[in-house]
Amino acid sequence: MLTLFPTMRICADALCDIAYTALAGALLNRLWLGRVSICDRPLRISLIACSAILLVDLPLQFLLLSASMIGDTSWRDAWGAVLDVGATHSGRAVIMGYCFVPCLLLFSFLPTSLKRTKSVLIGIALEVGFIACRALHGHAASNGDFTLREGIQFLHLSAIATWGGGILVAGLITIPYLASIAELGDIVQFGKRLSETVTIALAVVIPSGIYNSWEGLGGSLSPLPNSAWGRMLLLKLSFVLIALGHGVRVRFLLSTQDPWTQSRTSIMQKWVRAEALFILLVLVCSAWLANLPPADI
Amino acid sequence: MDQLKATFRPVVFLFSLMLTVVPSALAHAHPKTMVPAPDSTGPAPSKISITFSEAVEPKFSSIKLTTIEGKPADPETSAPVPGDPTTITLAIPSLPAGTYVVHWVDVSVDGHRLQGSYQFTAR
Repeated sequence: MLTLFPTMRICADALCDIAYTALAGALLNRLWLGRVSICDRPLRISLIACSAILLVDLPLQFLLLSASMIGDTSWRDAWGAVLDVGATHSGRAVIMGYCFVPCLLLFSFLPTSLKRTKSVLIGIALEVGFIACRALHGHAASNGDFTLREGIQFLHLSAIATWGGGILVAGLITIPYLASIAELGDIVQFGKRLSETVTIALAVVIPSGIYNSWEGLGGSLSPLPNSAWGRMLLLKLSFVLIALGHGVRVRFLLSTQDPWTQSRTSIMQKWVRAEALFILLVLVCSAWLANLPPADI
Repeated sequence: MDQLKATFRPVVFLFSLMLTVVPSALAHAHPKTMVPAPDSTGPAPSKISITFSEAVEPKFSSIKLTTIEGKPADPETSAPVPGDPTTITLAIPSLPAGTYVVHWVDVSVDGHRLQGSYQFTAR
């Protein structure tokens, strides 16, 4: 029973990362689709599902945090310490983040008659609030609050949610759905919007990721192969590079001047799906890194 | 549905494989400075102080002192140092000569716990 706690913590963290990233992705996909409303239903279901996952997962994370603080003795002890945990830095960050979740769930039930862009912006504001709380929780908080490290972590998480979430939802939901019923022009337009936003997000992900990695490694490359944190970082980096490789191929495919055909839609669908799967692995590695001692200690 | 299953199969496989190698100790704040130092011999200290590598949660971090046989050697409870979230101290009213064990527990602000112990000898 005792050895299950660390594994459960990683699973709960990974689930939370995937849920809020996909939530951001579902919002952005709605924005990129513009006036194409054929994908509203699956995207709305994604929003509801992700919010519901966060609604259940965050209390579990809180209980697992409590278990971690008291030494992973038992669920009963973890439950007994929840009030004290609520007064700690991490406890407060989880509770603050949780406040946004019911709002996100309510938001996902908003009628589609509400002006699309305006409603998506409300959702994005809620998501940004959630990510800000998430940035207060983890290694970035070790130097105190409102530090450069926390600010960079916030930018990193926001950009990851934009890149990862956008691709995740596009690759697994929107593009397959569009490919089956939409016109080719709509798919190309969607692909271009996705590609442009993701390129901007990556311009933030890469430098902020390098900064976070450098901080975690304690300003030296030597722990990279010699510590568990460093090795996990290498694994994450390799998944990021493979995902990026697929993204570059899609961008080239979209930029060619030849007329768009059904077969090119299938290729794009395949590559974006592959990128989405590697992003899932990147998110799992991120959750893992958050639960490993950084190499700088 | 089959396509979705086939898509997620490699991810689930890799995730399961990774979970089999979860390390058991997931803790972050390590002691950096310990007074008295581990394995040191000297006059009886008036307090024990441990400074950690990062800020710790005072409610969940503590120092306890026992004799080498494991009996409690100090009735006091440890406390954080005001203005220094990385350090906790344990006041010691009087300590007879002998070897003692310092048991420490820390929970870093990111919620991870670590514990350990070390010995020192008071003349």
